[in-house]
Amino acid sequence: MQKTPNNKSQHCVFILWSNGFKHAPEIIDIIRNYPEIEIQKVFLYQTDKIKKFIDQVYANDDIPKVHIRKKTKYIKKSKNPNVAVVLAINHRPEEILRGRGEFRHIECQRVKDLKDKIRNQFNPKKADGSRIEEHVIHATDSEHHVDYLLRVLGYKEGLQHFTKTPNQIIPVPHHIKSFSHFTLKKVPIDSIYCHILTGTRHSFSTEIMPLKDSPHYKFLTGQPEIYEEYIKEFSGIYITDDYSPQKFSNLIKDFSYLSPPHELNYIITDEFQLNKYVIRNGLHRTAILKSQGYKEALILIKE
Amino acid sequence: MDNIPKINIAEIFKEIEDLNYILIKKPEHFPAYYTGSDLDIICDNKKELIQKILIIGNVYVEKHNFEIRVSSNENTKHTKVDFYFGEMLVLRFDVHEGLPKFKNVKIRDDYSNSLLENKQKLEIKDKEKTFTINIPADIDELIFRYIEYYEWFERRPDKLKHLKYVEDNIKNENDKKTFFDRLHLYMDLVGKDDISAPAKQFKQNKLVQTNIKTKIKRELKYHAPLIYKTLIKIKRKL
Repeated sequence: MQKTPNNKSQHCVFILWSNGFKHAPEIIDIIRNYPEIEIQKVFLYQTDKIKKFIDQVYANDDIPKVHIRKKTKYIKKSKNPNVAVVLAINHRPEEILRGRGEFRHIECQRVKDLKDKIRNQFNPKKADGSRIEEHVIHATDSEHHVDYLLRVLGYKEGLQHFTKTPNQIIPVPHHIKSFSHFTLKKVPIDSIYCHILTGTRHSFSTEIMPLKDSPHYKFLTGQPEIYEEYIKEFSGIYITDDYSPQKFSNLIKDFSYLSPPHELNYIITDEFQLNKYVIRNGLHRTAILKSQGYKEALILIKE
Repeated sequence: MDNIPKINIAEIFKEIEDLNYILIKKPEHFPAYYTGSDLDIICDNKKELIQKILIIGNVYVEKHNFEIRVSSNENTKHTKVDFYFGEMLVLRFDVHEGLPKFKNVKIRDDYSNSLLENKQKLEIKDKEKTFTINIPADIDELIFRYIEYYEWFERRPDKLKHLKYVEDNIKNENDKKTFFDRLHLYMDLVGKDDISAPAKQFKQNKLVQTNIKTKIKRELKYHAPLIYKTLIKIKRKL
């Protein structure tokens, strides 16, 4: 095996098959806490044609077809039409050359180690305790595979969908619509509103509400269960960013808005009524500022 | 106007001193400025430069209630970073990645590389402290002022000051030759290649008030290539 130095961050995708669903929170925790791996998205994907989907997932894999058929047989029997998808950034890829002849390919040792750790822990076990090769998780070998897989999952632009920059000057998450004009302004914190999902994952609506009524603010003011329920209800379907009560608690520790190296990570808003702003990115941070007693906040208003 | 907090320009330019930029048409009283004035910057990495301005700008928003309005035109690679106090524009940074776009003048794109390569450092004294800024080479400063004059003189009589600056700073025949050589190397008047340009401009009603001299000049520019082509034809037949 030959290691290839690579300092550039790379994306990777993990697919959690239905046989691992009961361990989903633990598996996602392992990925979240793995060194140099940062989760970008977690979402559910539903398909009526699981066999076709599996063939598409493995279509680009550089391993013998016989081996793929063997290792996907158990999934094809599954009646569950769902898979969970985790898109992550690997900040320190360790690329290695693996395989022989026409199956020689590059893969990342870090991602492989993480995948093996999860398989060792959660794959079904034989009576002697050794793992059965009915894998609970699949991981991509390279960014080329990530791009292909995201297209299979319905993102027509592939990886570009997640890497595009909505603004040429400042860092802005990919899900925000492109904009070229903006204003930085200090506004009263009570003029900042948020979009909140209401109802259940089967029947929901979105409401614009004051910050003080958000589950996020309630988490910080003695009602954490409301936020926990909210995340549990909508995660993976309508909330696809990597949020969890634990992650929110970690954010609160030593939180200092716009302090180095995050000076340009503004709370991003739209002015939906005169002098009223609705958050597009930064709800957790705004809730923290309000809970810390700030009366005003520096925000970015898109135009 | 006295209650508008002053922006510390020295602090901003210290922050960007390692970047590849030039400040063109440096105002006379720099780093002092009049309310509403602008600073024109050409650089090779707009994003990095503006981010540094914004990081300092955060303090002005947070502590002094400024608003910073940023507007970009990605076609022209031009971004305006405006510091507002209330509804009053206090200071504008006009940041260009590459050359600004002009309507009446065509400039070769590689001129921006030449400008940045030939930049010179200028030490500025601000109260007790000193800091360094990048400005164009003397000859490029003259060229830019001349372009600015040519671009705007029909609509903005105040731009005559740039022509005066050029006249005052061309000291001898040698300077004059260098100026015109460099000017003609990189600059082209719109219409020289595109013979329909003046006609298009008439249609767009941009020549509302021009003096007779300018009109003749433009008409000649329009007809000259046709006359030249006719002469060539006649010559071939002879």
